[in-house]
Amino acid sequence: MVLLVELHSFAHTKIKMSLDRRKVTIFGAAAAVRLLLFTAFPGLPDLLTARVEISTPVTSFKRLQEGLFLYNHNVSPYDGGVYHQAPILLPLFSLLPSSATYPAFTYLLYILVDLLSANALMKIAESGEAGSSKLYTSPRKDKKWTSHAIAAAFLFNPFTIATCIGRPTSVFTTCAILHAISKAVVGSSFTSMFAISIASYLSMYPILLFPPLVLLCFDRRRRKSQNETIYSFVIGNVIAVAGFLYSLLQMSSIITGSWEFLESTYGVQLLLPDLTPNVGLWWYFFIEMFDSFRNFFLGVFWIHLSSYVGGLTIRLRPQPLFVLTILLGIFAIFKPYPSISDTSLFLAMLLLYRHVFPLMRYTFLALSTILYATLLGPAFYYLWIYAGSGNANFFYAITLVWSLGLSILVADALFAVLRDEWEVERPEMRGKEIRQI
Amino acid sequence: MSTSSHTPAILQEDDSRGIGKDSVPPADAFSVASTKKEPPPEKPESIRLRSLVLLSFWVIILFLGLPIWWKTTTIYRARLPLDQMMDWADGRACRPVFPLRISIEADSLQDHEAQHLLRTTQHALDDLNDFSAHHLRLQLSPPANATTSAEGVSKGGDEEEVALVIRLLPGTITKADLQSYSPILDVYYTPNQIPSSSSSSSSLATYIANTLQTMFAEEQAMIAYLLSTSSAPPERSPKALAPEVAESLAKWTTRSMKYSRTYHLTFSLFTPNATPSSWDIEAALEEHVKPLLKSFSSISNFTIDTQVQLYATPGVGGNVLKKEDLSGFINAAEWPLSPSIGGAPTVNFIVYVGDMEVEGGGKSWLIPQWGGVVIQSDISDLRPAMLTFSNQLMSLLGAPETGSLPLRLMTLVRRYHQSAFPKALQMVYTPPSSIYAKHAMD
Repeated sequence: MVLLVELHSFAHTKIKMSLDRRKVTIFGAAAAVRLLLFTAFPGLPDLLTARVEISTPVTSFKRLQEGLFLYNHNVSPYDGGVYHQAPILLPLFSLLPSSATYPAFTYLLYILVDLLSANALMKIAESGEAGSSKLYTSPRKDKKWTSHAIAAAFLFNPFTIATCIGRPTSVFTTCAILHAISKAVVGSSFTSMFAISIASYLSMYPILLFPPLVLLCFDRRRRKSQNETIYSFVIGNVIAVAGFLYSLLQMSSIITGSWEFLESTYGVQLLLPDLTPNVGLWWYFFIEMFDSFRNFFLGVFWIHLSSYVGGLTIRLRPQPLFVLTILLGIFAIFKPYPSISDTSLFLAMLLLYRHVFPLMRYTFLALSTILYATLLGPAFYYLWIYAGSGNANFFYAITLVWSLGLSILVADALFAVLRDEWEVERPEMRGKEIRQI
Repeated sequence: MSTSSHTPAILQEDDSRGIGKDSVPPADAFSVASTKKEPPPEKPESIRLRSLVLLSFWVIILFLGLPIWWKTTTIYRARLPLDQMMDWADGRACRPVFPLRISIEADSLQDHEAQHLLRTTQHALDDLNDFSAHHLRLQLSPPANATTSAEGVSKGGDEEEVALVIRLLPGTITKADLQSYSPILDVYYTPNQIPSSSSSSSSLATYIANTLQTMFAEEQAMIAYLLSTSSAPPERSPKALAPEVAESLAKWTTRSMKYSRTYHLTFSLFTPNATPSSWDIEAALEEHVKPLLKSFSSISNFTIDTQVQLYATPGVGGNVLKKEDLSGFINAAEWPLSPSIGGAPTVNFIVYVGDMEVEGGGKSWLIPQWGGVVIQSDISDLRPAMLTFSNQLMSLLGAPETGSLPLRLMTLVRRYHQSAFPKALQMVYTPPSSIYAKHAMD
């Protein structure tokens, strides 16, 4: 307990002096790279906006413009059947000057959101939660990257940069999730619940992160509420999230004037009416699906996606932050409209677990598979859509490879963390080959 | 994601020397057994953890998966109004009745005499008629100046048209005369036939009843035939038809075409050589066929086209066509006679230029449900061919064989309304009154 309190205060002092020089350099460089890309290649933002790997039907910036146009002309933004994003983005973007005439403001907003995400990520890294949580301390916890390195890796990750230039609204979800976690590791559960409510409101799937997040909040709760039982704590936070979501939805219905946005935003995520290709596994499957089985398999896919939450939360109860990391990886593979933005978030979170990297067995395979898919994906998409010399199977095959690479990474990371736990229990097995029996 | 089921306690050292998995130790057991290690027993805590993880999956499967599986894979079945359908199938839903109104014009008689005659004739008719669905109803035609009271006659507001008007005219002998171009039956009576108000029957009433019965016998038989094919309960089904009547009616049904809102008529001229290359079909149609079609307009619409085909050889040759050859006469392979492609069935009428003859002397014949053929060597006068075609068209549409033209037409109109009715029995969602009203309006 003394150690924990020490860690806590340590994190606080770091946060207070967060405006250190290295951080300014990293953030400045990241912003500069983005600004340079925005200004030096004026065609790049629109090119990347049109990429299916970056923009999905539920996050696309182009669709946001359509919704914004309808909204500003007093037409329901959901009337065209194109806009499937949360209503609250509309007044937010209406405040900005039009991105067609003054794109700089939009660019600055997206750069700022990226920097905020990186800032939250740094706070998570500084908390040391990855190496030693309340219930578990890894014997390897000292082997870690600095928060600056992790932030730099996130900010200079090509996936993150491409996402920022392509301006999908998933960056807001990423930012909200990272803030929810960064608030959870310092124990401010109320703010954390607010952030996860925002993320869920924007993209719906982050609500599945609630169980590990609330456990993380519970483990890191402040001393004054130490004697609170876990049940009352969870119930309190459930009520908080429900309240936040209720007020957000109520606000949205006031903004759009009706409740039809529910069907156009969350209904689209649940029922997948838009089968635009993306890096995920759903679109091709549901193109091929006979209509009579469609609803059944929608149920199967969603249950599959959500069934991981309970099992992982129970099994990895001592390390809720790792549950969040693994779930983000699983969502990046199995959610209905994934993009590389989700992958960049998962990779950023995975970097917090530097200390288990030596225990991973297939890093080379996983990373080269991901690299392979990254390079071949756009090529096969080009062959299919523009050159006409390939067909949909080309692109679907490469998204399968992509998902395979991510699955290997997720499974391997999970293995490594379990091995790490096991070695605490059986210290004599350290460094030896093991196999499952 | 199978790795998620890893539990540390069941991980075992992969020792290359620990190959001895058998329970029986090998011969050199003393050197191997020392290195072979059993995994330590699982802690109850990790067993509990594993059960909880399994439980969490099963909870999702049972409480989310099962209901979703059940709900999304059940095949939707609409609830059918079975009781109502069974009623229709058993003929209980409604009772088909085809009343015919026959109006009696008796200006020469006193009012009470006319009333009396009406009653006795109705009695005589009812006695003759043993088929309740087809019912002749007599009424006195109102005097010309009393139009307002006429509206009171038509009960229920539906304007049933009068099928036949009987004009009672004083004459020297008793005879009935059906006018050719309007549905009017002139009945001449001798003065002594006027029934006295005391007698319950009179010869005039019997005579009128018999005449009417004969006139409508064919129509009655048609309706009886149609209803016998539908599933009416036995107590309401018509009397059994005489075999020869049934046979002729069966012929009549096979000959006539299926009812359609629109028929397409094709008039074709086929000639075995290069002449004649034209015919005055337009004028002939205008003069002989169009008036007939106009009178059909209440049941069907007609579209017409014509064609001329030179160097057309018939399917069978020879100057005298045998009866069994007639079916092969139409050279279906070469003659451009379009089948019914659109919604409307096609009725083909063919004029073949030639001087062949059908065995027995005819020069025209009817092809059931298809059309008619006329063989004619000289096509300068198309009138006889057109008249034959008109007759054939009547037959093809299912008009009765006997009676004056207006009566035949009216029978045909009524017949379509009636034949539509048994079909309507299957339309269970529409209340019976509206079905009848709809077809009556057609």
